[in-house]
Amino acid sequence: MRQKRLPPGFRDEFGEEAQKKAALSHSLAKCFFERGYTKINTPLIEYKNIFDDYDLAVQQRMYEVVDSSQERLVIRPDLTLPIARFLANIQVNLPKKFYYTGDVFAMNQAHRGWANQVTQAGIELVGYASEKAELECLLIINQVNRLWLNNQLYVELSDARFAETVVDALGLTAAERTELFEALFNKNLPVYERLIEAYTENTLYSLLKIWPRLFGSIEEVQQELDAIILPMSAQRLVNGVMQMAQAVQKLSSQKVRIDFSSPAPQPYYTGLTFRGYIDGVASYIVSGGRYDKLLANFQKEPTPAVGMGFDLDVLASVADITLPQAKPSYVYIGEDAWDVVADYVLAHPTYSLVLADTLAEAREQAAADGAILYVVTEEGVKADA
Amino acid sequence: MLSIALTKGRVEDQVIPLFERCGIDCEPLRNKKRKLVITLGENLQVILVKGGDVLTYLNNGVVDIGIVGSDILEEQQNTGYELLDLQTGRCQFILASLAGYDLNEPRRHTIGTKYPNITKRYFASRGKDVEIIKIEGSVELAPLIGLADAIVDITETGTTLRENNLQIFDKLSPISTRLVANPLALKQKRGEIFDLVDRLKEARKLDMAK
Repeated sequence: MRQKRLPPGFRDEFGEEAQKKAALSHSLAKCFFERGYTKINTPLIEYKNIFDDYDLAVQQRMYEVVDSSQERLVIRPDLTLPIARFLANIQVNLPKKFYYTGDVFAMNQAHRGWANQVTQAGIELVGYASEKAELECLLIINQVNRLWLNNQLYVELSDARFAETVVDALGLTAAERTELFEALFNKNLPVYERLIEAYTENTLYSLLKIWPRLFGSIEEVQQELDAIILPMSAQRLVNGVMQMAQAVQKLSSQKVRIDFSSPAPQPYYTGLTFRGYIDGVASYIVSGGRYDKLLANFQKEPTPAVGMGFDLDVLASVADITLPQAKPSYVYIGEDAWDVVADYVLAHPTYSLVLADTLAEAREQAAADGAILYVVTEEGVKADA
Repeated sequence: MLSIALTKGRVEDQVIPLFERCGIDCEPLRNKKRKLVITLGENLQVILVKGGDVLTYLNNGVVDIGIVGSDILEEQQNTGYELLDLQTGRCQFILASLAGYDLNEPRRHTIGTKYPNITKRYFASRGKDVEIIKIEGSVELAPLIGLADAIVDITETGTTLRENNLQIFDKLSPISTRLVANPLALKQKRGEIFDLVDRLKEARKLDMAK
């Protein structure tokens, strides 16, 4: 007996669900193409060390395979790092804007309800140091919000350097830094509160006290920060995020949130980061940011870059999108009508042969598919009543 | 409306008085009969689940908050936010066996436990590789009938261990009940969640001051 089960964490998609995802994927690809982006496809399989900078969630693992030379390969868990690998190998004239659609894979603990395969659609703007690269991403996110999310999306902004800049000012050892970040980023407040007791005399203690709660609307975060004197370098980052947040808030019906208490979506980010979520859904719909040092990890000159990816599975599950309802036209070929049918079908390229040997069967099929049925006989073509 | 996955049984019993001291009317929870979904006032919906399932509900985003023992959080390597130690349900992970057990006896030891991940990490931190046998209940039996050399289990008072002639050879991490939150739920319901956390924290402080 052949196995007919699907491994845990995977699912088939068909019908409306698959069409919805395909429609979104197509629309996003069209949007990127029309904005002058270049399509890029990278392979599903890569060498494992390509993903050394990729942070998997706790208990996640990459799918590994071995090639014919016994080298360890993985099925990609991310789409940005393969593009960095591509740019390190191929002399592409920069700056350049790329777009991609593809699946990423990560093995989660079985039977927990988590997906091991996710489809992403995104862009990478490589060689652009201007903040307008970030703004371009945020404009596209706003467009998606208006088109498909009924303006329900919150755009959350942060800066990947903020946490490091603060702890630099605290003068922590590497071990202390790791311990503090682990407690802060996991919001393990009992441990965090114990750790910061050592800094009650430090000028940054007022920040440490509220740090795990330093997220919310622009006004809420600003109000918290008003009472705190930050190190100059951290203040500069805050100003940058606030400035961008004000700009994004001016976009049509865009809700904005700030979060200085969470880690960057990936460790390779080096500047402004952004994510998007809606109420009632426990996954981010989009995530991205600036990563100016990634190419340097592939023995290339550091190159300024910004990227973002939409999770098409989450987006499709919440997007308000009307799918076009197909009303197919079927053509039934009667006996001795083979001579006339070819010309008729050729003249109507969207018409499809009904795959039945009798008119009764043809009618059944047309009724099941909601199709208009045309019957072709020696005498000519007529719509079936 | 905040939805909470609450561990039924002992954790539930110990958390109800704490909730009540925060001004939450828990009568519907006390008189739940066989109901598994209970609404408390206008703002809380409690679902009663087994401890091992709390993180499954939480991480799939169908509840905002979970209330569960730290033994389960540690075993399942919690990825949610741990916002508060309620300091109820306090007990201790221990390594126990019959008198005369020698952990350093040079051979591969067999350890019975309900918590294989914690056991693996504990022995790995001591540089030891052990054979772990997963047992669902009455773990104390394992060394008594020769299934395992020792056990890693939780104990509150040590009574069951003593009654079965078992001795504690090492104390691992202490355990208590924790309030955990789904990371995105915290973003979406920041005010409601922190309000509940702060009220519980205050109630717990008053309890400890008594």
